[in-house]
Amino acid sequence: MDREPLESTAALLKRYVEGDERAGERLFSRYTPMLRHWAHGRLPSVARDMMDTDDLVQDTLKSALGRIRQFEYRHEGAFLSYVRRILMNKVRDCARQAARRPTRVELDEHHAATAQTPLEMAIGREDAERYEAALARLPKRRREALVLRVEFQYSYAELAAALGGISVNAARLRAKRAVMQLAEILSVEP
Amino acid sequence: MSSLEGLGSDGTPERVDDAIADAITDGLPVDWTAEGPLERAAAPHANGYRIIAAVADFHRRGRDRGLQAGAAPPSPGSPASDAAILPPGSTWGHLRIQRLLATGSFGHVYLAYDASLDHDVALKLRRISPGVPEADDERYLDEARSLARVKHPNVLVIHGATRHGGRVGIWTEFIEGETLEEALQAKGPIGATEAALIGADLCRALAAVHARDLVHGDVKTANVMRARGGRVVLMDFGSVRESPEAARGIAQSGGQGTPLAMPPERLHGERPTRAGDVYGLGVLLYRVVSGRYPIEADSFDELRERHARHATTHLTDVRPDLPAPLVAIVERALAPRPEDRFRSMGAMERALDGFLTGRRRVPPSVLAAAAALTVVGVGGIALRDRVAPVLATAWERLTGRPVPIALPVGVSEIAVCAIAGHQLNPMITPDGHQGAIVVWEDRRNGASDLYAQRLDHQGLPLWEPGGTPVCTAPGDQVLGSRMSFNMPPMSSMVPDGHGGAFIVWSDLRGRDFDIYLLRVSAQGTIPPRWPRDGLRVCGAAGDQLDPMMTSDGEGGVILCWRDARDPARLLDIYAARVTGDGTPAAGWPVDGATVCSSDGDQQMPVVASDGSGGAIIAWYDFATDPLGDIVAQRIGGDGRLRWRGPGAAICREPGGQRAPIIVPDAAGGAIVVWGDDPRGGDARRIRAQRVDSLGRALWGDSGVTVATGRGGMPLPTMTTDDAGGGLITWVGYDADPRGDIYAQRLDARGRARWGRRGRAVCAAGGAQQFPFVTADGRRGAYVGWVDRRRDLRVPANPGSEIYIQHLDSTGTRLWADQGVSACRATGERFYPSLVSSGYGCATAVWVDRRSGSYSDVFGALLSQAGALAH
Repeated sequence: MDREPLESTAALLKRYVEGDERAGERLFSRYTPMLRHWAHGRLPSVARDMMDTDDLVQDTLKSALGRIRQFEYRHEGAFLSYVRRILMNKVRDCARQAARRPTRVELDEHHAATAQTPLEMAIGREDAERYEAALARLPKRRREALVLRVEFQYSYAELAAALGGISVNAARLRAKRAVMQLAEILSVEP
Repeated sequence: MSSLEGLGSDGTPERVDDAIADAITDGLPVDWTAEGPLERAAAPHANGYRIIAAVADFHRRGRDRGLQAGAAPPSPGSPASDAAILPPGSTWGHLRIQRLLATGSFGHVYLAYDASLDHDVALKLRRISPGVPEADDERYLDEARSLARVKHPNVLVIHGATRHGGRVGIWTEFIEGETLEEALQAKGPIGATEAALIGADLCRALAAVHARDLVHGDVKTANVMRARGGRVVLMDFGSVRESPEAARGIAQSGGQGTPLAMPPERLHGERPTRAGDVYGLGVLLYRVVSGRYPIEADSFDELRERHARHATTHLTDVRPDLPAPLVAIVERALAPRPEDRFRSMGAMERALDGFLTGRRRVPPSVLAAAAALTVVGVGGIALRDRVAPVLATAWERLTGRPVPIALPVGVSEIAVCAIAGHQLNPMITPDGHQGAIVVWEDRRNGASDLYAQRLDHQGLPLWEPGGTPVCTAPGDQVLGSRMSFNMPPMSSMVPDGHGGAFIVWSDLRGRDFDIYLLRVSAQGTIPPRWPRDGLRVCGAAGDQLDPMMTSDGEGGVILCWRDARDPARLLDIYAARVTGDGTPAAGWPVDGATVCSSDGDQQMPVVASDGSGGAIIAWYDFATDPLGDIVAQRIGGDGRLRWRGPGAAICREPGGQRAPIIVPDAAGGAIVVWGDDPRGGDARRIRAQRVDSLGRALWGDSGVTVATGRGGMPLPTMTTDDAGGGLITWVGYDADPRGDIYAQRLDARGRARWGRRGRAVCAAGGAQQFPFVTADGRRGAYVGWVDRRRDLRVPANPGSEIYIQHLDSTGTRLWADQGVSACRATGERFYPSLVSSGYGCATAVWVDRRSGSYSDVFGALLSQAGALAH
């Protein structure tokens, strides 16, 4: 996935916050493919039939960008973290609605999506849920670093810029500490 | 390549952890093979790293290959090397692959055919690991060859071991049966004689191993199989038969040793010894008779520390019925110092044989005295039982309050419904006669139907065995809802005041989900004028889901639900009122009155009676904040909204509010509690607000904060304290990252009555989750939760119990300090809910997976000493 130098995305964000509408449009087209891909991995095929992933992402971006000036977004990392949460809520609700359809024979007592998302197919539903629960418990800055590095696959240079212009080493260290803390939460909690 | 190279046996756990974290952060593949005993002990958080590595891998593949629906072949060294599985019919060396038997981090085990033996064999192929030095493989083969020299009926026969096609493989006799661990999970602990017989066989097997100057080093229940016909077989390499979890494709802990089964000297890095095998067998015997480990802990440090303190659970405390001589044998094998254990396997075998063949008769009085002395020595429990009543009386005289000694509690298990097929989502409500009515979703006939049972004050069923059908209409009937497995359960049932109950559900017999309501009488029948399969309350287009219900105080009910009839307005909240006769209340629109139809989603409505025929409804609203606000509205008994605008804002702060719960206050208003996520900060909070009958906030502009958590969202449940306030429980993660249960009582003014931060209801080691609270009728509460204190995640043999505690009006625990276990069966249980069944008694129900295949509904009646029941 081609990404232009992220300094310009962080700068776009800053300009949009300051009132530049055109920056907003460019942000929209930059983030849409990335978020669509992310959402795709989290939606079970049953729900994907019912709901256009594009609609989901557009809704989310519109909401998030619409609120951006009322929040103090310090950097892109915080914004993406916020977007991810909105998107995750929407995805979950979509999956729940899809799960109400009795198309599956197999039952799961959580009454969540009875079809598996691609992520669940890769690592199992229980681990996918535990990962989300544990992720929510990381401190905010570490969670941002981990999400950007592990889920959105940001390079260290992109990560440094997205976390507010810290050094590349600092960004790597924050991501590594996030990984260590998340692993601890996941390992001690059944 | 991974920086784990070169660590070898010098790797301290911290260094290995660090190296794995480096690899994952840098996006490098991690070599997960860890066969040696020290490498298994190092990397305490390996489980967590595996999951993160798998998530990273998943996203990396997606990026590299573009959008894909299915899983792409993983990179070598990742936990799920499906690309490496050999298909049936292929060959490895001279063996022909038949099928895959098990998989894990060590590699794969296949059923294969050996033409030279003309026999089936089990072939264990080690994972392909580029970069793993050849010396490592050679060591593995050497060990296999040594073991092949051991010939004994109770030792797995090893036919051969070699390297071929870049992979190392061992082929052994193929055994049909199950491991002792699988048997334990499926059928529970065994008796003394059976355990002693297994122990004696294993003593002989290990003696044969030791006679060859070998040491096994990994004696545990997962390494011993019971073949068809009863033969006990000791295996090696930890993972020939993995737990069912590993067969899902991702190893959770397979291939690693069991720290819980290791003797203390091994935890400090010493090599395996014969005395260590004695210890391992002691742990095995302990486990098969009790289902537990002598020392349990949740982290490596805690385990080492407990060993240092000799913090074992004495076998007699777990199985008081076991004959003392057997207990003595097990405890001797478990002696902390190697020199105090049996000197040899032969010596232990003689002890077990002695127990089996000629048990000397010991007078019961002597046995009892010995037991009492032992117990006093361990924990002083017996002492407390004798002295306590004396102290109690003195305390009461001094303070006028009963002293908080743990009240003994009787537990009776109730099998509510264990019929084949899934039973899920049980809800329980009091029947008004110290009993309870339970309703659940039942898949015995295929689709989800609703069945119910009424339990009397002794927990005995009054209706049809296995449950009375409430609704068996075609399509699914679904009770309440649950957003995710972290959320508290929601109620779909209210008592009807005459020993029966109203039940509401979402029904898919039509084109989409509609709301149905039924009343069931005290005898389990449908009263006249109620349609057989329920009254349709709302059949509008689109899905109506998540119905919630409250009594209207006049013999009927008010329901609310989430409604999708208008796609342009997304999800809205509607409500309806139905009389006890099954007729819609006068003046209410057909298909429900609109409570809120603002733009954006309104979800998860909760409802409380307003004391005058109407109700106050709160919900989670996305109209203005994409992360959610809490809004409430009052609808009168006439079906008209009482408050202006979309409703009273309970909380409109930026940031996310979730999971509203509502209870009536005693004055026509309501208390709402929710989980809160204030913007920008890391803290998670539980907050509460009270609104009066006019929709005015009574507890300040933003309500009161009940609890603050540093990590994670404490999810609250709440019940009314019957005095205008609320009883709240939640899971806190600050003291214990696995979760502890806390409770608080807010009075009608919003003041916390149980300490500034609430009371810890249970702070035992291990995870406590899914708390549920119900009032006890005297301003106290029963709290139930899912408790995982008895399990360690490594190895992954998950299991949970249901614990209950009784708090009095001051929040003091009345029962045993960390709760009373309502269910010790093996396997998992979820979502407990409970009701009070007379003072001092509580009835709990939950989803139970002891059968391993289906979910059932089980329950328990707990009665404290002096209570009415039993």
